[in-house]
Amino acid sequence: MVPRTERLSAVPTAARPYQGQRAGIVTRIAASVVDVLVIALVMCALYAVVTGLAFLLHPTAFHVPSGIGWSLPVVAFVVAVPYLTLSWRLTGRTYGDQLLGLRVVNYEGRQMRFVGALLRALFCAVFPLGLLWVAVSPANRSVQDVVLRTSVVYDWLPTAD
Amino acid sequence: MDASPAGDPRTEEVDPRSEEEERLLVLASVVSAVVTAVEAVRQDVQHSLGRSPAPPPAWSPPDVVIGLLVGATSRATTAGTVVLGALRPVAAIAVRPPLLPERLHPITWIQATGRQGRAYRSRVDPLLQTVVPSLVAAILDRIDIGAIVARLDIGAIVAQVDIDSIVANVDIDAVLARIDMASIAREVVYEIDLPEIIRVSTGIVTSEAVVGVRMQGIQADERVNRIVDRILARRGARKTAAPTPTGADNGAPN
Repeated sequence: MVPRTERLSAVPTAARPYQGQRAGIVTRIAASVVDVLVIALVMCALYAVVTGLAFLLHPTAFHVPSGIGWSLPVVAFVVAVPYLTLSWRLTGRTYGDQLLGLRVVNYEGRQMRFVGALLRALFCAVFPLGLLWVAVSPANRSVQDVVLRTSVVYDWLPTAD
Repeated sequence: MDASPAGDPRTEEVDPRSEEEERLLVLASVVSAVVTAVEAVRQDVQHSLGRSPAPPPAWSPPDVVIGLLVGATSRATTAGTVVLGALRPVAAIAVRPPLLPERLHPITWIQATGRQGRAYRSRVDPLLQTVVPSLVAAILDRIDIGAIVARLDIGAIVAQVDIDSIVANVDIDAVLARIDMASIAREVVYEIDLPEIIRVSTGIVTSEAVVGVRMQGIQADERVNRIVDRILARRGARKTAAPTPTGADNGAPN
């Protein structure tokens, strides 16, 4: 079988040697930042919908919601876990991964199964600082990767092999 | 035409002359037949084109030549036949009378006439070389090649040609060896913008900006890795090769 990066592909020549290698800390943080922004956008939309519904249901008693600080981590958790789980299960990549050319694979190098994706999403949502271990790891693995035997690789091709 | 008695050596001087006359007569007949056929074809074509056939000219150079040839030939033939026929019964005695000196023998006169005829023939050959080309040119001027080609069934002719045997004799490899396939392929790829086609067909939406961001990310990863490894006094490169479904190593530098 011809290695994937040696086939006729749209991947630039300079990037081909890195395809399939575990990504470094900068790229993964950048992807995570994009994902955080996506989650923040979804949360803003949710709060807007809830506020709009409250206004429509009780227009006379409507007031701008206050004291929502306590709900932010919970809502973020509720939004992030399904988002990450479904992204890694269905395409192997979140929107941030897509933008930075990353893909999450399991210990076999294949796309993750649902349970694995859910566990990893929960782990990342609970302990996001585990990502920083990538910088120290001799194999570019985060704490989640070490525990769950997953890998985040450079993969600029649109579909998994 | 052959009026000489069989086995008589004394009349052999006449044979070349007779053959020449016969040849001239045949030539004249052929030329006449060709001219007649061409004229018939011309009139036929004129008729098929809806034109009234033009009256043939009263005379033409080929006709004059033909007339001269035929007239001379027929006169010579007639004279030869009469003379030889009359001489045949007494040829053996008449051409060589026993009482007369040899210079007065008729055979002496006949031989002299033969030599004269041979000399005349040597003068006629250049004349024919001059007349025949002009005659052929005049014939070709009268032939409508287009009408003749129109009568031909080109398809039937082509059907008889064995294209396969012709192609089998062609050395395709030698032809291909003269073609610079690599440069042609490069030009084709350059013209059709193959990477763009691949990007579109595979659904990748990677603008130059995205490619730039990704490449800068990879380079930043490498830089950070080197810095951290130096701080940790780590020797050797990181083992970043991830497992693949086939277990193959992609051969990346790290």
